[in-house]
Parts: sequence; C-alpha cells; structure tokens
Amino acid sequence: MAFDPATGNRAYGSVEYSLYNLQLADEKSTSTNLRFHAAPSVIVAENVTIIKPYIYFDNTTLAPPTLPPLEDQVYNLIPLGVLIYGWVLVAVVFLCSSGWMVWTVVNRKQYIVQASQPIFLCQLCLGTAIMALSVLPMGMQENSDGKTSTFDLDVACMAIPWLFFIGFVFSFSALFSKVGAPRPFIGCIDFAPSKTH
Amino acid sequence: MNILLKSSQQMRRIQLRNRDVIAPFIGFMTLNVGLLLGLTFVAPLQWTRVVVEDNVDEFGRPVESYGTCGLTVSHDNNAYYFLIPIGLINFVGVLFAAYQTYKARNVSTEFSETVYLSISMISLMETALLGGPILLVVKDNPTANFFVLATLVSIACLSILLPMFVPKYLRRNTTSRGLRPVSVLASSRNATAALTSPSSGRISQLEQGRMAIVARH
Repeated sequence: MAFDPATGNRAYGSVEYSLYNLQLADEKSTSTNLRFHAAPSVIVAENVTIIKPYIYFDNTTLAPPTLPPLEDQVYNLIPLGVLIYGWVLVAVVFLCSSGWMVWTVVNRKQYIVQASQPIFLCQLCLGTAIMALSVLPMGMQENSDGKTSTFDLDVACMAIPWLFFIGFVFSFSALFSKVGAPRPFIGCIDFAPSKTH
Repeated sequence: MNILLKSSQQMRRIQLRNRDVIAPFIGFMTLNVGLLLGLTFVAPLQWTRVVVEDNVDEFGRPVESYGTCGLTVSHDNNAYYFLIPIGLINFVGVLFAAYQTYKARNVSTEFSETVYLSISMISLMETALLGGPILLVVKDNPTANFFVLATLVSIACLSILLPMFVPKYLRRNTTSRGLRPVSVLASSRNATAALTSPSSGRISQLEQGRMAIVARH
C-alpha cells in the first residue's frame, strides 16, 4: 500500500478493493438464521470495474437519495414576549411583597400593624416573594446558540418545586397561624363596666 | 382563634404559647423539606427535550420537539412517591385552614381579619382547582405552560398579599379607641348583636364569664 506524499491519504490504486453486494438468500435462511449471497459488484484498482450492477434494499439499481441535513426544526422555545410577561408578574409580586414588608416594619408601632402580628405579616411577605421567584427558572430553556448547559437547566428544574413549596409553606403557615393566634381577640377588648349594663 | 373560642365555651382558661402558633410552620416545613429532599436525591426533575412524533419530514425524521422539566426515565415511578404527597399535604392544609376560617366566620375580630383570611384561603383553593386542569391541558406546549404557570403563581401570591394588606393600609390610622368593644367575645351572630348593642338587653352570665376568661390573658 502506498500513500500520497502530498495529502497523506492512501494512494488511489495502490491496493485493489471490492464492493460486495449482499442479498438475502431466502432459500438458505431460516426463521432464526439469515444467510446472504455475497457477490462482488465493483472492483476498484487502477480502474473502476463494474462487474454487476449494485442492487439496493428495494431490489432496484436506483440509489436512494442522500438524506439532507435536518432543516427548519421546530424547537418550541418560549418567545421573548411571553418570558417578559412572566418576569413582569414576578416583579409585581416581588415589589408588593417587599413593599408591604417594609411598610410593616416601618409601621410596626401602629396599632393596626401590632394587632395583626407584624412577625406573621413579614413571614407572609417573605413567602410570597420566594414563591414568585419560582417563575424565573420556569422560563429557562436552551438558547438559540446552544450555550445553555444541561446542568444549568437541570438545576433550574429542581429549583422550581423548592422555591414554590418553601415559599408556599412560609406564607401559608403565616395564614394558618393567624387562624389560631389569640392576639386579635385580646387587642380589641374594652372592659369598661358601662358596656355590660 | 378557634382554640380560644372552644375553650371559652367550655369555661376553661387556656394560654396559647408561642410553640402552639409556630407548630403549623414547623410541621409543614419539615414535611415539605423532607419530601423535596427525597425528590432531589431519589428522582430529580431533569431537563429533557421531547420529540413530537407526529411532525416528520419526507424521510420520516421528526422535526419538532419541545423542552420540559421531566422525570428521569429510570426513576419515573419513584418521583410520584414524593410529588403526590407534597401536593396532597399542601392542598389538605389549605382545605383545613379554610375549614378553620369557616368555623370562625361569625367571630367578629379586630379589623375583620377573619373575612380577609377567608378570602385568601378561598382564592388559593380556587387557583389550585382551576389551575390544575388547565396545566394538564397545556403541558405539551411550553409557551402556554409557562404563561399559565406564571399567571397562577402570581395570582396565588397576590391573593395572599392583597386581602391581608390592602384593608390594613386603608385603615392604617385607626387607633384602639375607634374600635367597637367586646364583639369579639361572642361566638354566634346573635350574641354579637347583643353584645355590641347596649340597648338590646343584658349580657348573660355565660357571656360575662367568657369575657372574664379572655380578660385574664
């Protein structure tokens, strides 16, 4: 075998090789063993010699078309407009949560805030803020440039239930505790005798 | 609230401690974190690209797919051991809380907080009941799925925040002197009317006893 000194490839014609055409031999095959007729179809040496036309899988001599690369694939990515819609909703909830939390802390001496247990109100705000953050990983997807790693997307997938349920527990427990909390009762009682005749 | 009401009806003095109030938080948090840890380590959600088999080119190759957070194929069944209990625990919690607020519906509390708690609970339940089936319908469409999920989460958050804070903000300048007294002690609508209206008659000894119980707190 010789090599082409210019390209390093095998020199054309230095070795003779053949293309064999395998065809199923029905008469020799069984249900468990398949046998084939193997006959040389083309011999490639100094010249290309066609011994017998090559028969393809459909029993014709017509070569099947070469498969073109996949084009116009539909990836169903979330459009930017819908992502922005989600981000705006997150921002609204986040602003409401942080705003009400700041309002609660600033007005913690006010009677109405004290009577509503500021600690539960803050817990409620914290919970809804965490819950709203779960929308952000929901919008993660492959970029069109394909640079988003699968690891990042896997982390985002697991972040969704964590953020949602932890946020839910924070805010819901605050509501739940308020149902059982005694302070609303005590704060508004006036024991003036005149009220009881 | 309901604990106090029940005790007052039994003429029994009780004292609610911090741990009584924080117990629901600890309980829910422990259950949720435990199940989430199980989900994370046993059958984590993973990003997968699902091929749409119906849309193929002339050579029979699928050309359409969508990305989603799916269950790991090898752990498909295990994930449901965690996902179903998480959903059930939280939904039952909301149901129970809604029942508690329903029981306390006739209790006139300071700033009518029970009413706003009820609104929050009912809104949460409505969001879950309506949103669940919609999510099932749009699960194969990432755009619709994200749109619905973002909307549902935001509605859930705002349905907790707005009923709790907007009425307080509007009445932020209210002082204790401006409140009507003693109506909180009544556990029925009739009793509330009797207590809050001095001209409607004398307060029964039972109601006076309830007042005494609460007053000691």
